[in-house]
Order: sequence, then structure tokens, then C-alpha cells
Amino acid sequence: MMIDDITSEASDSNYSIIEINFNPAIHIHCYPYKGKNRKADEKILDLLFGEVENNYE
Amino acid sequence: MYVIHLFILFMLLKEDEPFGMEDQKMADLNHDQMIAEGIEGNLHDSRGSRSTMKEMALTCIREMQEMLQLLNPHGEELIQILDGEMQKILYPELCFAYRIKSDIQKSTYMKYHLAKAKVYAEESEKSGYRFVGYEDLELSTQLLLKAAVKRGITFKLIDRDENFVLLTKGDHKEYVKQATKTSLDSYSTVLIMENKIVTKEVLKKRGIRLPNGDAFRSQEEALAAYEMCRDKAIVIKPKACI
Repeated sequence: MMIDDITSEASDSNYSIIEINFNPAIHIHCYPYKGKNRKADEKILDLLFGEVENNYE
Repeated sequence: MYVIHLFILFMLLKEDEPFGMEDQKMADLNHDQMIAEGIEGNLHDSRGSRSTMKEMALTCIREMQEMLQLLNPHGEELIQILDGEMQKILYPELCFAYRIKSDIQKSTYMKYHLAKAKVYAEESEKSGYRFVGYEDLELSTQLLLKAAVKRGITFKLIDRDENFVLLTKGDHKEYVKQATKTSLDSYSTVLIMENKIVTKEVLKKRGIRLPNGDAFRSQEEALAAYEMCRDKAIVIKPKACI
């Protein structure tokens, strides 16, 4: 995804999806260089096995 | 762990000795004495042994080394591990228990252990993306398996090289490849995503913005189109997405 300015709302002219990965690596979302753990691993399990309470603490 | 493994092997291969009530009593006595006085005390046995526990331990290790030389003549590494164990018997200050005890005595029980806990917590945080024992798998798969274990979902590596796993909880089974290829992907989704032309078409139909693009089947076609975008930023890619 290409975004000119992540602080502005999405419009018809300020972002573009350049490709979709069907086997994305998830560790870059769990341990990003900057930012927080998005728990992609937990979310995959939520989808496959159903959500678990208080799992994202 | 190697030492325990070798010791079990050693015990298995050692010739059987008679063992009765009296021997069990001696074993209990040795056990109690060991706890109370360490390995310096005399070893009790029904045959009136005069050796100390320490001597017995050293003999044991020497015999284990002999066993190793017979079983695995090139097992230098294991011999060295046993040498290390021998050193620990000769110099108790090398033992973990001794080192922990003396460090605690320099500080307090609480302070020492809390400081250790903090160091280990930091280490564990730093390598949180790893799943110990499964470091050969892709990082994504390591994370998924770790998260699964935390939820009580068991896993089986069906094809380790391919990161193909089976996750099971009760009767519920899920086959997952490379952490994100699951039973939730329809076959056509996968086919669509493998193909950039089709992917673009599907996204565009759904009102998602994407760069304009074209596919070319010959160099001539591509060169002809190049004139149109010569001064623009362009990316050239194969149509299959891997």
C-alpha cells in the first residue's frame, strides 16, 4: 500500500494498493521496526478456532 | 541433558546387580546423607564399601567415558562434557547451586533473584519472536505455533521444511502452511492472487485504488507502450505473484 501522508483521511487520490500477498510474513506485523505488535498470529487463530477472551492483554 | 542421557544409557548397559530390601534401605540412607552432608560422606552399601560418594561419582563418570569410547569413538564432545562434570565433582564451586548460593550470600535472596528475573525477562522479550526448539521454521510459523500453544491448541509439524503444520483443538483440526495459508482461503482466491492482472481487475471492481497497469506478451508491444509512460514513474514486474 502506498500512502502519501498517513495522517490524512483516505481519498480518491492519496493512496494506492500495489499488490496483495497471499502468503504474507506475519512477523513484521508482530515485531515491527517501529510501532506496536499487531498480533497477526493471534488474529489468524481467532479466525480458525474462534476468539478467546482477553487474549490481547 | 547430555549427562542425564548418558547416565541413563550407562545404567541400561551396566550389568545387573541383586537388589533387595537391605539395598533399598541403604539407598534411602545415602539419599538422606547426600542431602544433609553433600558428596563428601561415606557411601553405604550392603557389601561394606569404604569409598566416599565423591569417589563413587568419579568412578561412575570414568566408566561412562569408557562406555562412550566403545559406543562412539569420535564422540569427543561428549567426553568433554563428562570431563566438565568431573570438574564439578572435584571443585564444587563450579556447580550452579554453589554459585547461586555464594551470590545470594553477597546480596539477599530477594535482591539476587529479582535481579536475575529482570535480566531473563529482558532476554526473553528480545527473543520473543523466536520459538525455542523450532528456530529452523519460518518466523511467521514460529509465532503462530507459539500463540497456538498459549491457547491450548496442539500442533504437529507435518512437513517441517515446508512449514506445513496441523493445529488441533479437541475435534477441530486445521491444516496451515506458512502460517497464513489456511482452509479459509478459497481455491479461486489463491488463483486470483497469483495473477496480477486478475488481482487488479478484482480490486478495481471493488473500488480500491491501484496504479494503472498493462500486461504485455511481447517486447514489441511493451516498447510501443513505453512511449506513453516514458517520463512517468513505472514498475515492471512478472505477472505471477509469488
